[in-house]
Amino acid sequence: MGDREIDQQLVERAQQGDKHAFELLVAKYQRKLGRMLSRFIRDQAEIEDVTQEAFIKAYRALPSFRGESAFYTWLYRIGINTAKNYLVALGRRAPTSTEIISEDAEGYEEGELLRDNSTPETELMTKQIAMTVNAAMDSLPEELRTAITLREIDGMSYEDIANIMNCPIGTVRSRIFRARETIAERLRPLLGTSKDKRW
Amino acid sequence: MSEQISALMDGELGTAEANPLLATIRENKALRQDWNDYHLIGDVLRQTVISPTDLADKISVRLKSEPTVLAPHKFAPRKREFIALSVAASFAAVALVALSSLKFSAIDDAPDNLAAQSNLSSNTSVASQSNPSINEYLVAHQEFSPGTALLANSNFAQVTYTKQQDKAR
Repeated sequence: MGDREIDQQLVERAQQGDKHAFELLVAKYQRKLGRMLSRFIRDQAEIEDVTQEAFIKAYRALPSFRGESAFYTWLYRIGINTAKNYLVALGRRAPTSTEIISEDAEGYEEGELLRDNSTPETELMTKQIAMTVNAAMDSLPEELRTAITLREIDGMSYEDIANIMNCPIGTVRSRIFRARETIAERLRPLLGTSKDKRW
Repeated sequence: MSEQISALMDGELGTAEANPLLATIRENKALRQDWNDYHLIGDVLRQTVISPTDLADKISVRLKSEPTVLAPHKFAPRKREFIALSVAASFAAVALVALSSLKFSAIDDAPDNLAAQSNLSSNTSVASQSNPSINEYLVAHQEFSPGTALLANSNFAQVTYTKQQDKAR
């Protein structure tokens, strides 16, 4: 099941009243959407507000989503409109249609990590998250680090990774999972989501 | 279970495995947290992170106060059924028209055979000789006949054939 099918599955569940399904989509796309909105809105707190608003609008508009485009493409358009309305309401310049059109939702490449105008606290937290992930990556055994890099950064399939690493697909799957879990273990105390705190 | 989530995120699970897993994740808070954490890691590695704030919790709180969305069900299988039936009906209609045309063009193309079987050619001339006023009437109204010229001719032929039969009796 591909990325789009997973999203479609979650959307359909949400359309039938399952709010948890929509929360999984929020967890998946909140940073990507926030990152895109940061091109139009400078202030970190405002970006968060608009991101939230965009998700709520998307939730309300779910009955009209028919799956003709990818969920993120649809969400992206809602995000842009929410940002435009927000800026217009504040009497600020909204993104022009050229700026919007030149943006490709599907092939959107990520760039900067953080805007200069973040608060010191959020900037510190973001840096800590990034440092923790990087430190955890450095501490990973070579085969785990290679597997997760090929997957997350290069976007390769398990089959391609298996060919490159000359190992079975099952091993790739296991390595990627172990890499994620090792990094997550290091992150959880920082995020306050340690497994012992979840129950 | 967490390993399956990891594979699911990467699009490496089949539908049969993915669907029940998605249902389990939706219902299980710990697994939802794994889903969140793994996506966060991916975003950090791709340098997507701009905010340390997890908006998922805030949005989740807001969603609770939102009325539950209930989109009308899509009747996809019925739609497919309807399309299949429409296609079948179209083919049947085309086949019927084609068959009718073939039937009448066969009559038209093979006058000798038809004549041999029923003496229709001579019957027609007999009819025109026997009752010229009806013949003229039929020819004059040929354009108002319900079908093609072929069909009109065939009707005319039928009329004359009947007359011939009556004559024979």
